[in-house]
Amino acid sequence: MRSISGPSAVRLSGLFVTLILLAVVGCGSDRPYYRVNGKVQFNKDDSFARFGSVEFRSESEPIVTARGNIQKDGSFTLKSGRYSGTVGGWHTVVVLQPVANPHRGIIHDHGLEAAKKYGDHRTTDLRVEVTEESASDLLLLIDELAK
Amino acid sequence: MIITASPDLVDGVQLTGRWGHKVGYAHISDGSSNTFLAGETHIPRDKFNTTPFNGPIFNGLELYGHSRVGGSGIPILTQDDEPGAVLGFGSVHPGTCNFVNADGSTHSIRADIDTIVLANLCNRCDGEVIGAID
Repeated sequence: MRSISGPSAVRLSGLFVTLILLAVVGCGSDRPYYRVNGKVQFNKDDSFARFGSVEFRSESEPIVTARGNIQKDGSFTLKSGRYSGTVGGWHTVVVLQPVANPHRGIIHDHGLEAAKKYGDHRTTDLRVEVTEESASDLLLLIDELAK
Repeated sequence: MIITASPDLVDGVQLTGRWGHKVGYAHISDGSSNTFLAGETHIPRDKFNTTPFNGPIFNGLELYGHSRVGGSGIPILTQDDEPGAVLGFGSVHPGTCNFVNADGSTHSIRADIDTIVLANLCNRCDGEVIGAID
């Protein structure tokens, strides 16, 4: 029976440990997350969105979604579950600005509203590539307004 | 949750005492196995028994207190997450949220479910049929 000992055995052990570690870590778990913040702005008059939320959905598998509320100055910061920011790569972006007034008569000056198409990942045309360099101070420009 | 009926209103406010619309199984064209009937609601940690986050289910006029929406921009949240512009589903269970499908089956759904799939499950008639969900 052939046995391996000495330096070769050490190298093989190292390889085995590496393979075990790769199996434990798994594919995709090493995708880097980047902090993402920015502002939502309307092309019509350069004003900023005052309410609503944004959601980034990664175009690469496994799908990662990250969300942030739009503040009164138009700014947002993304969070994905317990992580700050989102994974790198291309994302479709949703800007959700629901307006409901169940009691009528209450008038809010909420500024401009994004068109409904921006509220669904299947219809939005907003796409962003998140990289280490581009992840901060993003500017999401809204071309179409709600009717 | 599927709103099975809502009150008939005059000018959107005044109750007439009649039902405005009714939803039955015939209206669930995606199939009862592919549609959520009800789920745990997202209630921020310090908002229990506080409207609109956790209001009375018997008040059909104020749907915000007990009804929820899921889909693009409205993911499943935890009680530590800040609510969005629309209240969605959520749970105190770490990483999952419990739902009942319209066929009566129960499912523990991962909180990081793709929001497009979540939208498909929350819509009873979008033509999108989902396979195994848990």
